[in-house]
Amino acid sequence: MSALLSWSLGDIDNASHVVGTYVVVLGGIGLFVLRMRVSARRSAERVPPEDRPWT
Amino acid sequence: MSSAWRIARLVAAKDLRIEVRSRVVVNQVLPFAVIVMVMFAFALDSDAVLERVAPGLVWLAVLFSLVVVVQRSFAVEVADGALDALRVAGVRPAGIFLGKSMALGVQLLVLEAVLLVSAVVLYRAEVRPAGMLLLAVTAVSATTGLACIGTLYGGLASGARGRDTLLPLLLLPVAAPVLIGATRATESALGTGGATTGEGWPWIGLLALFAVAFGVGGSLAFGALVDE
Amino acid sequence: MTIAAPASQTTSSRSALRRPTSTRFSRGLGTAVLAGLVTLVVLGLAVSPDDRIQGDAVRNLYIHVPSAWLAYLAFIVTAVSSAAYLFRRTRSLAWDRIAGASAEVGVLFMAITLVTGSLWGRITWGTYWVWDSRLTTTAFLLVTYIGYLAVRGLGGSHHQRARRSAVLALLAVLEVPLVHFSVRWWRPLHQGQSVRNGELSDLMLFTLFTGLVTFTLLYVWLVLHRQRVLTMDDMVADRGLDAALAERQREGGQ
Repeated sequence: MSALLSWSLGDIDNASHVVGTYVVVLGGIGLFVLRMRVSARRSAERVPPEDRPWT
Repeated sequence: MSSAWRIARLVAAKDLRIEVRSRVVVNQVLPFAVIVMVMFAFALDSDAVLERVAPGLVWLAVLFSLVVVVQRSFAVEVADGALDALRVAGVRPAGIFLGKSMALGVQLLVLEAVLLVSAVVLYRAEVRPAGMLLLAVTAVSATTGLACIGTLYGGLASGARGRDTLLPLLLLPVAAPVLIGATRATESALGTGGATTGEGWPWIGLLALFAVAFGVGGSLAFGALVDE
Repeated sequence: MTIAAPASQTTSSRSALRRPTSTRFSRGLGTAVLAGLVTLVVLGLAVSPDDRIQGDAVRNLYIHVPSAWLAYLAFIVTAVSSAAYLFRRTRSLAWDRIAGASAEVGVLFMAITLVTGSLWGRITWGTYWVWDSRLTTTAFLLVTYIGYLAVRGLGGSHHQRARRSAVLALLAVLEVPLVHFSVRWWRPLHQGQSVRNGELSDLMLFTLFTGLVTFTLLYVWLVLHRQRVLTMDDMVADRGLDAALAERQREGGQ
């Protein structure tokens, strides 16, 4: 990934804006998923698996 | 329908009577609105600019005051559970919505008149005889829309904790079309920046559409929003 | 301790704790999304060619356009499931939770869309922001749905929350076109810029298509998990209420 980025940085005009775009999007998704997992685990401690409709 | 209309008149009369006795809008909101107009002058610091943007500043001050007046309008209801009492008594929510909107509209019209005068005095805006009709129609149609959304979102925020900070967040984005439409229409009524009266009338269409959309939507939705 | 864990936990029960909202379907979907995202990054940043006019700025498009699509999709789903909650007689809270989960995902991607759009605008227009009706409407949508999420967090019973927020979501459907058209009328100058159809090469179109498909799957995956978390949150709240009631009854019995 970092190899790809450094390779891209050298070759792309406006590299900071272009790569920044990808970082913003993927980072945003990552943070959301992380936050969601934390709250999921917190709630899961109090909801046993057999009560969850999807299990 | 006739009963909703009767309730609306009763609720409006009640709200206006409360205002006449307490004078909160006259003694507190009006001075606030005028001081906002003075502050705009400090911030913009140029007679030419002020004259150019006077219509926008008037409506911006109206929006800020709207938030305060709406909070007042529902503080009165929530303080002694009056809204709940009305609901329990089986009063149609559409009637309450229309009544509170009407009372709010009357108070806003007074505010707008004072703000317009302060714009004439402070910003050297000029009211032309040719633009009088347009100006009046603008004020009425914009006020109808603002009163409807004010009552709607005020009612929503009144039932909940943290309502004081929530109301502007909900209300101001919805009010944006009114700010745009009323400002453009007022500019052409006053002839700001060489605008002609004819340019203003299409914006009245937008304001009217907005008022009708939220008048109908509000009558339908108000019950679900305040029902606890 | 609500869960009496046996000494030897089976793998399935351990994964039920570590990944409580995951099922075989969601894991499969998640894998596909991950593969799609990697493909998109490789295609978008490395494999696909520069645009003749836009140069490398076109690479932003492959991820900006799918983000915008996802955000608008999310709000359409919020509106539809809010209507489903209000107008179906079952008044199922499942619709409400889908609406809420979808709005959260929508807010995230609306914000992402605005940021990536500004970066793109900075390269091609030389400015982060223009008062274009599409941009402005997007910004208003973001603020409106931030308000929507705040209203969801106000408290009260689940059905109170559901009814309030469903009405609000439907009012937003009324608001957004009005904002869009008034802004468009206010500043008619910047219409119809950005995407020039028919000028993208096949590889570019394929990259964009990959992005759209991947983000649609990503949306489904995110909402699926998020509404499961919300379901558990509601269960925890109900349980807290039940426990409090039982406590009260015990006190009354003494």
